[in-house]
Amino acid sequence: MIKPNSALLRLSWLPYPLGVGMAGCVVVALGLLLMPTSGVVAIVGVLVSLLLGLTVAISLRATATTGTSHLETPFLLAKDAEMFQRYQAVSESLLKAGRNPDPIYREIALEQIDELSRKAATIAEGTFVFEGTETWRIVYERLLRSPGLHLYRSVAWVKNANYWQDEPGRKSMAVNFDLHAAERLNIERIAIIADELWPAGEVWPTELLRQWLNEQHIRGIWVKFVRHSALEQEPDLIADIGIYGSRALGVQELDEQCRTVRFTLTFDFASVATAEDRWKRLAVYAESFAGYLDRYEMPG
Amino acid sequence: MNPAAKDAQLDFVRLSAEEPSSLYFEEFLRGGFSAWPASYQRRFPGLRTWTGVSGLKHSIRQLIDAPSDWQVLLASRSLSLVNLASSCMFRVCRNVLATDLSWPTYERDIEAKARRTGNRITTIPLRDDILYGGWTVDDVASHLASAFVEQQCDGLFLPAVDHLGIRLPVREIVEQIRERSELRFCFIDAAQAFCHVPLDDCLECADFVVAGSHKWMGAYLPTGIGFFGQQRSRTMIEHRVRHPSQSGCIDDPLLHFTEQIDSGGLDGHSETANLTSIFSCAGAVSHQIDAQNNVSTAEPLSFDQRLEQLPRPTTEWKPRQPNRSFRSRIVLFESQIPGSQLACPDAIRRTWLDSGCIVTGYPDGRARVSLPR
Repeated sequence: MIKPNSALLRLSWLPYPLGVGMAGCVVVALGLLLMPTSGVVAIVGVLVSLLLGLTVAISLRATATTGTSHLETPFLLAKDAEMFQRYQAVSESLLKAGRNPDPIYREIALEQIDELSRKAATIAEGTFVFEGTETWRIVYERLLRSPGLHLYRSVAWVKNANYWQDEPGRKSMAVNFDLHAAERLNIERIAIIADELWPAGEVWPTELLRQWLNEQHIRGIWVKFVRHSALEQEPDLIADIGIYGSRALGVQELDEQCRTVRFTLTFDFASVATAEDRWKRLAVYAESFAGYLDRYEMPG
Repeated sequence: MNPAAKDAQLDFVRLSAEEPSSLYFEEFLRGGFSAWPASYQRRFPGLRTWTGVSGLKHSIRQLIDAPSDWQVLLASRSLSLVNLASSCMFRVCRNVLATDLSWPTYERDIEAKARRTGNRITTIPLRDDILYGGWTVDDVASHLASAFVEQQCDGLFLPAVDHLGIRLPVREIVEQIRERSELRFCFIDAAQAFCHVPLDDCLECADFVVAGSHKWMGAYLPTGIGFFGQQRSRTMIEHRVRHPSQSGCIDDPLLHFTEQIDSGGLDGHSETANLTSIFSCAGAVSHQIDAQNNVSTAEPLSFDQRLEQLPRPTTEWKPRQPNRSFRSRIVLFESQIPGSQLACPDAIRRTWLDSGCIVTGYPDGRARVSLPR
């Protein structure tokens, strides 16, 4: 097999731009001979504008990921060593899987790979989903401790008194307190409280919940709270979320025992902006714990 | 320096020299002069105004007519308390509204704290409008309340009286802001107001008030004095005072020492604190309370009469007076003599001194006079 000369390959694109350039020169030369000066200026102007348009189009094509041909993928990934390593690993696994002739194996493998593919697509969109596990708290802590994050806004949907009272929940609160006390992070929290934990006739929520809110207030976290029933007209505001600066949004779904069913973390800026708007609307309904202390004496 | 402060300071220095390791000392710090044996009381009578750390705090509350459940903090300098207050303020506030009337040293400290914590301070110019624009209390209050809303502020830092004598209508400002927005923390600098004008408005509105003993109180030695007690913020500030390591910034041995004495016991690990200033502070407080209780029956001169009687170098020096509601006993004089704006502060001070009046000169040709009580 004849190996192509790599130096020639590198130069194979040259004739086209050279040809276009030569043609442009010929047009301008003819213009000089046959037309007045203003006509030549017009021709040169048109050619320069075409050149600029072409340059922009080429640069856009080079940076666009969509529409990239599969052959270009490794070249585009090569500049990111960590991503390229994963690309190689996945490619090798696919090649290996493709060599197995067993039809049942192939059927199962394709299903599993499709699942992986869907997960990769979600990650590419900026979203991570943690289901039935509290391990999301590791990522949560990593985010809170990350340099450059100054503000963490949290909406706690408290359906029962066990909310964040288990061991993982208490550890996450300890991280909140440490970072807030060290002035590395500003934390604000709005608690949406189930009506059975804060009945309409009662001034304060139940004792355990009151202590949970008060401890945060004492440590300088800006706390607001609102009854669940006060948000009946605004159901889209009822959610358990965390807004990490303007960087990411976390949505926690809990079961009736306040165990995590699903935690979705997204780095999609539009989702974060929408959550910020919802936070502002929710703040209108909620009352500050500090202001409440001015009006009502707290028992015990 | 008032005479009781002087006596207390001199006798404390003598006590330190003559009884450097007295076994009675800790009891004296806690219980005051009355806890001493009679022999000590006879030897150091200048310390009779010392009533212990908690007694001093009680007297300061009495002096400003503060509620009995308000907390008083004593620190070696007021800047330590500014640091503590801004630390509390920027735990709950993201954008603090301030004015160009702030004392520059405090302003720098608060700005630095805002930067370090990823928060902001928004400064609104006011001085020229008040001094030259004829603004009224309502103008100032509504201007600041509008700025507070427009700039999306949630905290407030104001001087009760600024260093050029403008007395701000703190209550009106805070009320208008609270009507239109959520004010999370209000921090008042009362360094120039303490023992000068009543602090009722500050105590009613502020979450933290900072003052000092060496200005109008007449203790000469500086002691930072802080007050707080609003239900909405007191437990948060108390937590911050009791856990100084978490704040990482409140580095004041006198504050830690007096808090430990007041709460019952020394931990034995605190840094050595210079205690002289709290004895002269106690003397000055006692003197001020006596002065309040023994108000002269003679008809006092009006503000305008006293201003008229003030010796000044020439009649070309005119007082620059804001609207009457903003006036305090600090008066700013401007010279009408052409070119006087170029005079250096020291030359202005000397000129006034020659006519028998001590003033502070400013580079723009202005002189600040503090009228005695």
